Amino acid sequence: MTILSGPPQSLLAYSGFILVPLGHGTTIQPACAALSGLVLASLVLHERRPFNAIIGGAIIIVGLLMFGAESLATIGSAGVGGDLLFATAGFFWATFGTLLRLWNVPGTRAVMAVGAVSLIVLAPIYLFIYGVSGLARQSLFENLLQAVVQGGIAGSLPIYLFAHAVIALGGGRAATFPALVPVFGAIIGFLALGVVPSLAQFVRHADRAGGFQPGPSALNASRERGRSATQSAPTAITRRCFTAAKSPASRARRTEPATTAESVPWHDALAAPTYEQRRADVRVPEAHTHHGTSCKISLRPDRRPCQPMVFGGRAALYFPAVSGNRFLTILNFDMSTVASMCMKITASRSTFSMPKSSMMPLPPCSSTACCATFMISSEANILAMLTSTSASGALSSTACAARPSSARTASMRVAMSASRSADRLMLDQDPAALHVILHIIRGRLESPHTDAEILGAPG
Amino acid sequence: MAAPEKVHRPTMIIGIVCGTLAALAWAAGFVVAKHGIQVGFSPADLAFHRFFWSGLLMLPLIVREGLRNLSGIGWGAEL
Repeated sequence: MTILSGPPQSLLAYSGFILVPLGHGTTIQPACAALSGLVLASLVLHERRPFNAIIGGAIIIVGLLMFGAESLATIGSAGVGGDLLFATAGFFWATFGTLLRLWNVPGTRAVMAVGAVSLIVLAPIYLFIYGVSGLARQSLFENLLQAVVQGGIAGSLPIYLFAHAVIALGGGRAATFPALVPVFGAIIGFLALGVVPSLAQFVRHADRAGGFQPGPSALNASRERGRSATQSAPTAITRRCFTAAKSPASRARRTEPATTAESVPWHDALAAPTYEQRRADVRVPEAHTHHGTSCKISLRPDRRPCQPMVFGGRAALYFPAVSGNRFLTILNFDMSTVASMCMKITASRSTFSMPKSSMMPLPPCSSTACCATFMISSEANILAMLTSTSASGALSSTACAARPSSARTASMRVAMSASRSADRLMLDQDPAALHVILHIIRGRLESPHTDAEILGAPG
Repeated sequence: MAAPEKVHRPTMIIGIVCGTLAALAWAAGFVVAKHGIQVGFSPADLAFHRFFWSGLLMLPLIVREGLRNLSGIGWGAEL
């Protein structure tokens, strides 16, 4: 599990960022995770998937093929290698989620165990091999940024938040949010990484601002039109090129033949220049093409008009994978992990802070007052009752309820799982938790839908 | 077909906020990872940051659950 969801999996994804733009990572990895989860659920878990999930998977495949073709045409084999790294990372994540369900491992324990193994086993290995030199080369701010964002914000926090979203909105609606990750990634990337072109520049240089290099066709066309042709006014992007051109490293690179993206074999991934370095190599000749100096690559140094169709084409590139992911979200397979983790965290917190006797007694299950009780009762209270069984059955029942896949299939699974929990509860003589479980069973059987109907307003 | 979901408004707002923040946090993780690669971190450095600090946070929990068998999962399956 540590290999599939721990540092090795992250290494794949981080290595992909060396080779391809940000947008590839934020789109391909979740899409491949969702797609792999769909396939593994069918092959390993023998689950029948709903029709819309199959449609979503097909759309994702189309989107991934478009990404692959784009990478091959614009970045070359190195780009395809980067995309494959992200795809492999997504496959690893999907396999992790499938194993959780196959082995019936509570997600909370798995996540904690991955953290423990990473800390006890892999961190010493890293320190033995690399030492702290790699970290010490960077400033304290950069290290703090990575520690806070990678270790905290992007680590456990979104799982917790997303689980709350699932509980509040239901799995189907909450599945929208992971699909927003590529969009938010693009926005934050533009803002945080300094690529904030104006609208006109964005449209004019949509393909560049989108994070892609021009394809060979564009390069050839620009060569044919003449490298020393009159050039448009430098944009923000090309101004950065001038800045880059003034750096010693860029001057050193300029003395050498410009490295074409197509010439970088993907198996030299880690040794190859980063995507940004190669973009800088490309930009430098562009900034000097008006002097008529020899250069191998020119980034469309002509006065081509605004190209909304290009922008549309780039948007269309992202659309299938993102929209497909809407139907088949990344956490489709891993919802049990998310939900059970949230349950466990919330329950453990309430266990310490709230005695069991303080739980609010529930009215008869069939009455609307029961739903009203759910409304006014704290979420931690309800979850504490659910997890008071301390049985995986109760956790898995709620987890299955949170899954955004087929509501009907999930409802039956919930009913079966909850029935087992109810049997256990019968023995434990825990009427409050039994009441909740029975409410879930009834709600699932009568109206198979999301958790929102259980924890939300009365119908 | 099941009836359309009815979600209490405050609950819906909380869910939307939580989901949006989760998506933002995920996206921020991707962007900061990309930034880390750009400034010179190696993938191993980023993975160290990603799991070392979260592992420190989770270590008390796993110790409480049982470190010898990783709270019932077992070291073999966990690896």
